[in-house]
Formats: sequence, C-alpha cells, structure tokens
Amino acid sequence: MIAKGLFTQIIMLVVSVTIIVTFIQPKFVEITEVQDNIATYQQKRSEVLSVNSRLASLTSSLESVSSDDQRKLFDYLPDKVDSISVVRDLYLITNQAGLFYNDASFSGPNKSSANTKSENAYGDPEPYSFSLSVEGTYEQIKVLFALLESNNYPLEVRDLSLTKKEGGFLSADINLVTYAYDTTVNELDDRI
Amino acid sequence: MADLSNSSFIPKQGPVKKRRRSASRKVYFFTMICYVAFFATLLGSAGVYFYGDLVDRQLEDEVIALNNEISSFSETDMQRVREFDLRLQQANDRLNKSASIVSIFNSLEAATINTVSLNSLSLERENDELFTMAVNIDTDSFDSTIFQREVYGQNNTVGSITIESLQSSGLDSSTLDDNDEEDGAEVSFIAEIEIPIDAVPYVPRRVTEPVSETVSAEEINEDSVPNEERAEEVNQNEL
Repeated sequence: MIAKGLFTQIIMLVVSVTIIVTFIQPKFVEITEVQDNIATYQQKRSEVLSVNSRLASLTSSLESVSSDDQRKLFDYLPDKVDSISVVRDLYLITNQAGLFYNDASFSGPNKSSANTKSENAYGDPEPYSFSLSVEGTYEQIKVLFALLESNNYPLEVRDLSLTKKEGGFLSADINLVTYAYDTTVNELDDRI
Repeated sequence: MADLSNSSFIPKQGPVKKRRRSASRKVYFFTMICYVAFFATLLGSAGVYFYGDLVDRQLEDEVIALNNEISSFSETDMQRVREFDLRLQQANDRLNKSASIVSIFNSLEAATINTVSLNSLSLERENDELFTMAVNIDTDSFDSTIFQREVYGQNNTVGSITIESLQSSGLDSSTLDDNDEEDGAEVSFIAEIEIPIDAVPYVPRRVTEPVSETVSAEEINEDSVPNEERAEEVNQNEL
C-alpha cells in the first residue's frame, strides 16, 4: 500500500508534467511565433518607414523643380502629340528658315519603333511620324535643320532625301519623328 | 506506620520522567524534487501566461504602428513622383540620342573636295545607332573619285565609306595622257557613308541660359554658317 505522502508527491509530479506539456510548452511555441511576427512587423515597418521617408524626399525634390522647368519637360515629352500643332510648327519653322513650304503631314504613330521591345528600363516614349516637304537653298535647308534641332520638343530626322532642282534650289523630303510620354510603362509595378 | 504504597501487589508506576522525543523529520530527496517541480511549474505557468500576454500586446502595438505607417503612405505622391521620374528618364534618353543633321552637313562640307558635285543625298537613321547616307556624286575623273573616297575615309565623323555604282562617260585616251579632262567628261558614283550617331551629337548652344521660346533664323545662321574661307569652298562644292 502506497503511503499517503508518497501518493500526494506523485500526483504533484504528474500535475507538474501535465502543466508543462499542455500549457507551458505550447505557450512557449506560441510566444516564439509571436516574437517572430513582431520581428517581421518591425522589419516591414522600417521598410515602410524608409519608403515613406524616401517618398517624402523625392516629393520634396519634385516640388523644388520650378513650374517653368516642369512645363518645359511636359513640352518636350507631352502625354499626347497634337498632330495639328506639330504640322503648324513645321510650317512656321519652314517659313522662319525662309524655305518654300510644299507640304507637311502626320504619318501616324511609328509602329515599327513601337513594336520593338525597349532595352530601356524606363521604357521608350511613343514615336509619331511626320513628313515635311520643302524647297530652298542649301543654306536655308541647313537653317531649317538647326531650327528643328533647337525646337522645344524633339523633331528627329529619320529619313531625308535631298535632290537638286533647277536654279540652284534643292528639294527636301524629310521624315520626322516626335515623341509622347508612354503612359503604359507607369503601370508596371517593379520600375522603382 | 508502614508505607502501604510499596506493599501493594499491584505494581505502581512511579513518576517517570517522560523523555521528550526530538522531532527527527526525514527530508526525502524525491519529496523535495516533487515540491520544487510543482511550485516551479505553477510559477512558470504564471510567468509564461503573463509574458505571453505582454508579447501579444507588443504584437498588437507593432501591427497598429505598421498600419499607421502604411496609412501615412501617399499613393498620389508616389504616382506623381513615378510619372515625373519616368517622363524625365524617357526625355533624357531621347536627349542623349539626339543627333545634329547640321553637324553631318558641316562634316560633309569639310570633307568634300572642290572637283566633285553632289547631285542628291538620302539619309536614313537606323535604330538610334547610325546614319546611313547615299550621296550621288559627279566628278571629273577617277583620280578625283579616289581622292574623294580617301578624304571621306579620313573624316572623323565618317564611320565607313563605300563607293558604289561607279559610272563614267565622256572619257577618252587623250584625257588620260594629257591630264587635261574634257569639259564633258564625267564620272559619277554613289558614296555610301555610315555616320555613328555618337559622332554627331546635338549640343545645345547655350546650356546655362534659359531656352528662348523662338530662335530666329539669323541667330541660327550666325552659329551654323562656317567661316568665310570655308564658306567660299563650300559654295563651290554646294549641291
């Protein structure tokens, strides 16, 4: 027969073991998981904090750009190319160079360039083609190109054909390309 | 009188001094272990419970802090910055790839000899890498053709030069003997010239000054027209 004292001691030991197995050990595991979660949340919070501070710094830099410079950037790379404005500008530039204006027209988006995959991480702007036909002297044509180059938005010469006309004049058929900001690249998530 | 207490046949208990037994409790090792384990478990349970509670509160605090941080993030600002950055990068990319046709003409003028005449010129820009030009040229002799090819080849902006479609008319043996070409003698060829875009970059004239809205033709003329000597030479070789 087991003595009463010994029985109590065994019961105490069993209760202790049961408490350890059913409460303390699972609680330890739970605490470890919670601590891991806390560490993860802290890390994520610091990441969000750094993103926020970086964004604040970039926003500050953006706001420090003068409205004049921002306007120039938007002029250089607009959201959409206004074909009529470009044709009008080509006409004005031709007149300014003193050339005889034959024709200028919008040829449409430059699909061959648009279809090629961009190597640039920021994407390529959308090209729009225009054709210009003028006549004049060699010097006048040079002035025309100088004016095109110094325009406040790009007018890149893609194709040029110069042929001699009577009386020392030249006929120039020019294929020009200007660009619009490609908004589709903004939809990509992993650019910044 | 006799002492009766000793004469009784019944033994009598004398006043015995009771020895007080000293309490000699035995402390068993197993008992001690049991008690220690039991109370340690109880204490540990309480500690773990309260520590768990503390950690849970810390987690809640962290979640709240993270949510606050996330809610302070401005999607509008991010979109604005990204759009500006992309636009700036795309514009910068186009600026870096901009080329000057005037520079090409200037190089062509510098590399064109007096005895040739340019009839027509076609130019094509290929993939922001190079310009390919096909220049239809008339000259008076094969020597001029060879010399022109050499001069083009030595020009810094010209990447490569190929002479094609060489045709001659009005040449006879007397021309070769006397080195005195006839007026009607003509050699024509097409010069295929490749010019890398890097060789003719567009360089803005006034970087530090703000760009004026309109640039007059006279202003451009002043910058683009070469000096007088070169102009005379150019006029002779003009298209």
